[in-house]
Amino acid sequence: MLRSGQAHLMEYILLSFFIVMVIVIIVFFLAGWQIGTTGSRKQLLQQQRAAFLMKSFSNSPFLNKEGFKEGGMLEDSKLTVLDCGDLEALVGRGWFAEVKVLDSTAECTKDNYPRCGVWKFCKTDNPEFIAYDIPVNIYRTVTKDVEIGILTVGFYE
Amino acid sequence: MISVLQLFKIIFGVIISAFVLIIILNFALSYTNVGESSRDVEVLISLKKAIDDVYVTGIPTDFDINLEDVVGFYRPPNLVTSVSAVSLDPIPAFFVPGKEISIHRNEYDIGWWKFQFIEAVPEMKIIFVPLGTKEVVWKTAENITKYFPSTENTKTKVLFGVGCNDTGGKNVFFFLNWERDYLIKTVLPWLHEEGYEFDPCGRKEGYRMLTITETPVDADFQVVPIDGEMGYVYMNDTQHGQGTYLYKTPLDIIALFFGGEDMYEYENGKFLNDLSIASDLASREASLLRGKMNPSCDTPYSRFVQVLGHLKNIADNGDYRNEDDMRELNRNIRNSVEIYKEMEEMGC
Repeated sequence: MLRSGQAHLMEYILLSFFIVMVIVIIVFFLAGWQIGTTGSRKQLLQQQRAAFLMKSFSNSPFLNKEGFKEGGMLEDSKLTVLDCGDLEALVGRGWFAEVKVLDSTAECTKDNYPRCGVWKFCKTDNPEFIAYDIPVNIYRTVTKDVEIGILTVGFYE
Repeated sequence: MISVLQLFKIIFGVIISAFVLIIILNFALSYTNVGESSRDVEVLISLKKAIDDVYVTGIPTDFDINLEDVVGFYRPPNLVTSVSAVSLDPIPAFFVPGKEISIHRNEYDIGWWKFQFIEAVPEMKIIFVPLGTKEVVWKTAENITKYFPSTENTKTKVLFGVGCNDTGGKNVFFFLNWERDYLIKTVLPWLHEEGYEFDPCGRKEGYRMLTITETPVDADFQVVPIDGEMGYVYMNDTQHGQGTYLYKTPLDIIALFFGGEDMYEYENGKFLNDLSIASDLASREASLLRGKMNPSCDTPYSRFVQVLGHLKNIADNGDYRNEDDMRELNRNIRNSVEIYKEMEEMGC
């Protein structure tokens, strides 16, 4: 009689153990799913931000030639005098930009301007970033030519 | 008679059932909250993206928030919601909460630089009340209107009317459905030329009055110009606040009209900060180009650098509520524009 009762008790305890286990598994699954959703939303926001910074840089009234209404025409003289501090004051920290005239290697300074075609802003050694690049027009203020370049804008993770 | 085992079964069953029920209820409740918050966050992310896109492309759009109270209010630069605050920085935005909003980019152009900003507003009907026939009143009306959004290409409208003619104690308005550009190009010049005179308007349900007058009258929102450029805004509005504010550009008036003192302070801080950076950049650019362009450009470049130096100094240290400071700021902006035009004509 006592053994049969103990066996019944054990059955119930095992049953409740399995129920609790199932609940715990469901809780973990839902929590994991929630964390995954939050993570992908964060990534989506970072991508959105990087894309916004790129478009914003290429159309910025601080860097574009006046009078070109159809999108961006970056002016080389403006790029040469721009520094990382200016960009941080305008759009905040944690990102970088690079503008490169095709086939050009010389980085622009006040001394070698206008015989140069690469501008780098706020670049660090951090290898983790999201970056986008697009072709842009670059207006050469001194010669009044227009050249094609690549604008890369990235956001450090 | 219940056996011990049956009693155990009953108590055990009740405990396990209660445990499972509590867990499920807890989860259901927290998931309802999480679901609502997620939905609000999704709306906010989409709204921010829409504002970003309009800012970089300049193409206006409608945005249907579709939820009554997602955006509680706007404390620049943050959209404040029940879930969290979402910053619109670095975009200067005049945001007025509403269910359906129209998003536009507008700009204050000073030739060598332009201050671009976003206007995101719900459906609105604005009545201009120009009092008197003086040129400065009508010129001010035209200047202000330019900085309201043009909603010809969006579903959510900001429409304008002009008033009032007081006949027998009843306010009579001149239509109420003009788009911004039609008002500037046709209606205001015609009314001015014909010498129409208007009376102060009382309140009208669903409309916002913008009175422009040479001497203060009894009105909720009135612009009192000193000259064609500057003046004071008198606000006496329970929703947007009370007080007297100096304006140096029409942007200040628009900021006060859309968002009261908070937006006025935010707009001034942002505009003067950006103007300071723009002056500094333009000054450095002019110094760089001075030795590399046509020698005849040296003198205008030097003058340009000098004026931009003054401009940066006032933008950094001037008080936007001080009439003398802002008069000096406007004088330097005018000078810089003149020199810039001169340089363009010389091919510098």
